[in-house]
Amino acid sequence: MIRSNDKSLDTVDYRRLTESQSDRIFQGSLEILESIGIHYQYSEALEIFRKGGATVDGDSVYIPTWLVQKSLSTVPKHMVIYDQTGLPAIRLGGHCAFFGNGGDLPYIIDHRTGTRRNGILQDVYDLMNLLESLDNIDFVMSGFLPKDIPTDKVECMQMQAMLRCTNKPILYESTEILSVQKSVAMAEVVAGGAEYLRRKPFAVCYINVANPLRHNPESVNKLIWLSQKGLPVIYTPSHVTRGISTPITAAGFLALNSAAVLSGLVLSQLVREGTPFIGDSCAASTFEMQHMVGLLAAPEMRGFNEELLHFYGLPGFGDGGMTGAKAIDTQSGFETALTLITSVQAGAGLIHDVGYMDNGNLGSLPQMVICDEIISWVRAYMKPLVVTEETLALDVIREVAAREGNFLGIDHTLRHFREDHYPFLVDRMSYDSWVAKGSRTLNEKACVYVDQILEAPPKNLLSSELEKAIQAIVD
Amino acid sequence: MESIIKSIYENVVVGNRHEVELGVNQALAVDIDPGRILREGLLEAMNEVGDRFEHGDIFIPEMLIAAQSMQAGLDILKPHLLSEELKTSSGKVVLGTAKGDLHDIGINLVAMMLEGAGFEVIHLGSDVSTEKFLDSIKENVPEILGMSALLTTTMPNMKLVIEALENTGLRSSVRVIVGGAPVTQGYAQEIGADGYAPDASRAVKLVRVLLS
Repeated sequence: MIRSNDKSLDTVDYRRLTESQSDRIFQGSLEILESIGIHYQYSEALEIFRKGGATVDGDSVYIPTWLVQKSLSTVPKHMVIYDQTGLPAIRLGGHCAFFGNGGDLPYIIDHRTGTRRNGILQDVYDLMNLLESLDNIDFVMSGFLPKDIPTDKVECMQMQAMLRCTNKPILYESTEILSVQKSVAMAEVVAGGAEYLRRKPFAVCYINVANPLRHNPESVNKLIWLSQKGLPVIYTPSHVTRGISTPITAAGFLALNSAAVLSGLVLSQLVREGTPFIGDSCAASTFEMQHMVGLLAAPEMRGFNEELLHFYGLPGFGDGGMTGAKAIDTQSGFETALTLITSVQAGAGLIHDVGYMDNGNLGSLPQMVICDEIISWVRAYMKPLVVTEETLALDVIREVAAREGNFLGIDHTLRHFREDHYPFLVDRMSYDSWVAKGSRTLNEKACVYVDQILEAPPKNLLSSELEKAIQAIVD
Repeated sequence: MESIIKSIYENVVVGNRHEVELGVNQALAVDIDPGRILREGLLEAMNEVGDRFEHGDIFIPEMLIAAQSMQAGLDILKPHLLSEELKTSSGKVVLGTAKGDLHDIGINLVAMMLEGAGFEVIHLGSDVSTEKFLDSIKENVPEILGMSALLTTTMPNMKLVIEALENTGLRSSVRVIVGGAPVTQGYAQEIGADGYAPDASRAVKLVRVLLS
């Protein structure tokens, strides 16, 4: 038999905005760009905008629609981020989901004592060794902001730790242009030179603009410098400030936030056409008006920013796996799981901040292990239904129906049962077996796993030659 | 010679029934001692399968096809085994599910695993009445009676069998073990059973411990 006109749903068909809704928000963004204007507090940027065809008045930039459309046509819609050995690791573009932790958490719950304390450099190393072992983590960020090293060395030493402990792609951030330059210099050493890093980028800079209407000089400087080098950038203008630096309403937030993203896109493409530019598909936007807290796991906005980036065809930098909880508890479990599954369904791209607790103030190594478990569940949930003769199994049903017995001991079951999800730590035992194994909770089991990983002697993935060159940059 | 036995062992472990049958026939053709084929090729392989299951390396369907391929090998071997060797089988076990309970997937697996471990199994199937259990015990004189229940409503019927064994003076002649999803160690003690196992692999271990 040959079938025709067959269609399958390969993934969930999840939409939060229609084309026309996206288009109306886009129109709003274009009006903001063209007639309200965005402040760029950096003279080099103003010059680039002016030469490129925008109108500049003082530090206000008015970007015509044609320039936005041109930039959307020159920016790569798909890009590959490599691992540190030069192998393709992340194929970014369209609806996709890759997972990584977040950066710069000030506090950690020390899993050995259960107490909250300042993060230190050793925590960054421990975390990197742990993340290297977790199969569902696709990229890494610095994790903690170490309090035990000089402030001016923090970003370099975080980068050094990531290069030493893992081969996974790195997303790095830094406030000063100097440390961005140092991070790039280190990445170039590992890649074998500037040209190699450009061709096979494994490190992506995450630039966080403080205010979508006023782009601060440090951020813009970084965007221009990285674009000149042709290195990929992530540009997010209004993280968790809805109601403060954007309108409180979802549509107004989206219009202003995406105007700010698009202005950064235009600048990057004016500096160098084809610069890989990753837009903001983060769902965390809510500034909570009762306790004055920027929320990471609020429900209202999930899926919208992601959808808008798909409308533009821009690769996205999203968020998921986060919680406001201060301990590994029921709240942390459900917020982490729900923010993960919504961002995966929305195809958010690079989903970062996995494992963030206390709204981005707190991290925990066992929590990362639990996140890895949740991602494996989500991965299994997202698998498509396959309808073939083999999976419809009519012959198998016929065979079993004809005799006594069941489906358990037959080849068909054996061929397919391992396609189901078997978790690593999640408990599925009978009560008696669970008691016999020590009545341990998921958190306790995650702690044991972390200890096993940390017991192993630390290894340095860098050759002594690379190690020396990188140490020189850190010093 | 070594390589033939090793190949039988390995094919039982991975559940390659056809290869096990070939291997046993080949071993018999070159006059390898049937008792040795049984012990080193089949029984030791099933020990390994039980260990792998308990470690979580293999799951039920894999344990099941290993047991099936072991049994296929045993069927070929049986006519060649001395009656002595058949009995070295460490003991006799009567099995069945509780009266009213039609769920026999688990107990079928227990039966196969016990046979795989060299026990002689008299499997009464599902929905077994107290009388049928008693008749079989009188007739076969097993060392072990194994019962299972999946339903909380049929669990008490296992207790009735134990009471009937006591009333007929048979209780001391047989060790009673129970299992099934809702059954616990605590329930086993409560109804006066001698043992409880949470899965087929541990049922084999339990029987071994009770008979040692």
